[in-house]
Amino acid sequence: MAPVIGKAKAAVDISIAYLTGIRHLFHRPYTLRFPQQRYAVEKGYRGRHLLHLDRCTGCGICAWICPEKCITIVPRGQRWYPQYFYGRCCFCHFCTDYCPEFALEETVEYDIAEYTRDRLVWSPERLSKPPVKKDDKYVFSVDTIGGASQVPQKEE
Amino acid sequence: MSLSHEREDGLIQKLKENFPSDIKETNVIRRARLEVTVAPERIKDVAIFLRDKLGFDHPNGVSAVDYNRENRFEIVYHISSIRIKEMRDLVLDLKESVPRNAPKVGSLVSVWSGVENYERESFEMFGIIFDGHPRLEKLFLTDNWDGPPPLRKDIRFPTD
Amino acid sequence: MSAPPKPPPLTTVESTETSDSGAQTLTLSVGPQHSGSGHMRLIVEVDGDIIVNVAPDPGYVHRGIEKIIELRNIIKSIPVIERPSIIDASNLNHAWVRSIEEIQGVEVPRRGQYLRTLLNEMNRIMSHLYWLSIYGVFLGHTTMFMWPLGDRELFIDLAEKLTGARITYSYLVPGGVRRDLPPGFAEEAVKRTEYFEKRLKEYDRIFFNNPLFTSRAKGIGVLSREKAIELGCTGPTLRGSGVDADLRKDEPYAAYPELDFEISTRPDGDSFSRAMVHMDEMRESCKMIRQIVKKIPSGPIRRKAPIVLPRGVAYGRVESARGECSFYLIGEGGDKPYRARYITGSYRNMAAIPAVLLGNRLADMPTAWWSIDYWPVEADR
Repeated sequence: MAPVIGKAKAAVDISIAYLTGIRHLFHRPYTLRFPQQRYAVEKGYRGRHLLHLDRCTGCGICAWICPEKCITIVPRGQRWYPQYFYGRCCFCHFCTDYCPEFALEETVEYDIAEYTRDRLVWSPERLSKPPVKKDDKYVFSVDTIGGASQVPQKEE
Repeated sequence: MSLSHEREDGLIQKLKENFPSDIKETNVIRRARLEVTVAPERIKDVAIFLRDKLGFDHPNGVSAVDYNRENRFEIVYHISSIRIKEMRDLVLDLKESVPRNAPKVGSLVSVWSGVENYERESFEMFGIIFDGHPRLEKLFLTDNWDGPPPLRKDIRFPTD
Repeated sequence: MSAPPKPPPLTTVESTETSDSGAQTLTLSVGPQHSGSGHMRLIVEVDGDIIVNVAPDPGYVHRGIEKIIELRNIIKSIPVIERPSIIDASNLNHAWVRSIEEIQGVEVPRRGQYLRTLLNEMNRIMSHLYWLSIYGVFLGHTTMFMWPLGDRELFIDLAEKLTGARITYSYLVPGGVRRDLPPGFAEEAVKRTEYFEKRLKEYDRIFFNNPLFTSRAKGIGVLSREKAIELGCTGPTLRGSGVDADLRKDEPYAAYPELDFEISTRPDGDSFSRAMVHMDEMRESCKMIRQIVKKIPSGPIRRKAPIVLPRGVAYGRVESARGECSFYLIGEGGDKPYRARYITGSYRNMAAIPAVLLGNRLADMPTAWWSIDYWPVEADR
């Protein structure tokens, strides 16, 4: 008798498993088609750095604290500014935290891949430009009925 | 949580009673952390006593430290207890020192079989030879590594 | 310097040997490029299809992190300490800052402790979900590969709101944490954990109650209680063998003494027990996250801590997702440690691999081996 019960229970469990899977055929997707649909990160995201040239004193604390040694201090006329090599940067943003003059800032720009290695070296001038506004509009959202999915950001 | 060290002092007392001449130094770092330095020749007896009589049955790891200015290696067995539930927060550092030019000590694999991998790592990273170890081979380093043991203090790498 | 002793040559593995019974055995090399073994190799000797000998061969991702830490100051070490297990970054980081604070004698503010605990528990869920997805694909269950990786996004997204980074946070620093809670975090955390608990029920229905899984996992890869203790196993591997040892209860740190949670253990010690311990821990972590956002005290999040490491010794340990992660830290007064011994949960559980696999069939190897939750990068450091 016991094997029959075991087999029956197994059949029930497998059917439940299949039904659970089938229910999710109608779920909205979790994923984005990246270059067309872009994920919108919030302010505070640790993307690439923004350098305020007027505040920077060129003290070099950012270069000292950088764990990956990706910052070099380069001269620009009478003054000195940090230059970033993003091939090494690990985006820990200790430089932003330790900057005594608040000259560095996080930005939400996260796709800074380049085709060549030398384009990854960001000069102080390039760092000082604010990020280009891209059409980032999808956010990850959870609602009680539809579950979790990537939805367009609500207009405010 | 009390801040007194009664439990730690009691353990040290018991060890000193049983091994009056072999316990060289004891130290309570803070609550639930104590160090016991023993003579390398008798470490196995102390280890067996700790395991069987005092309930330290759970090896947490083995560290080797290179004191090159004092010309010695220190091998530290971090052990704790599972059997005695009140003592689970306690870590005992069982230490021994060996001279740096003849780094050879007895292995404790026969006491806690879990220390096998840690002793192998100390062997390859510091060149300390563990007598009686069942498989004293390289663990992490590549097979064709023929340089010096890399974690010794006098080994410098070009990126320093 | 005296010439260091030359290590003995490695024993070469013969392709065929004669076992005790006189039968021919075959030595297989599973990994390092096998998708199931991760960045390590298991040298498996089989007699027929019964495993008679296993030798783990780690070291393919060894980075010498202990040496790197000795050459860097204590703040700069934080990103590199997270790297061995980026899916469990904040727990490893917690062990580091905890041992530093022990030597420095710095007391972390209550709010900082709560935020640390919050990120640790989110990390535990993420790490277990990653483990679960690999476990699913090991057993040929592709849905169980997709779902946990998708649901991991719930907590990655939360952690991104809190810390600004998706996986490598560098959020815990000596003295506290780097950022405060963003507005609206508490409601979002409650919503997501409640949704995730619903999803866990679905995981049960599709995978853990499924005979396709239970028939492959029950009774496979048994690690007895005595063996687990003797080998120094830790974390879910130890709790799956019926030992209720968990540092969050045994040596309460951060905000754990004020939280209400249970330690889940399973007595059998087989693959199924270890898998279910992971599932139970995810449920408990969800409860803990809700408790934390409810009763987090106000106040400062970070206290000033010196950047130097005074003379002293500390053994700081925390319960990470894969078991106890500990630092044996020796300071000598400079900004760099004299010695930082880094022992992670996977490294300790490496000793259990032969014990779990011996005597099983080769086809059961994925079930038994991955139930240990061995993360090769974390073990190699």
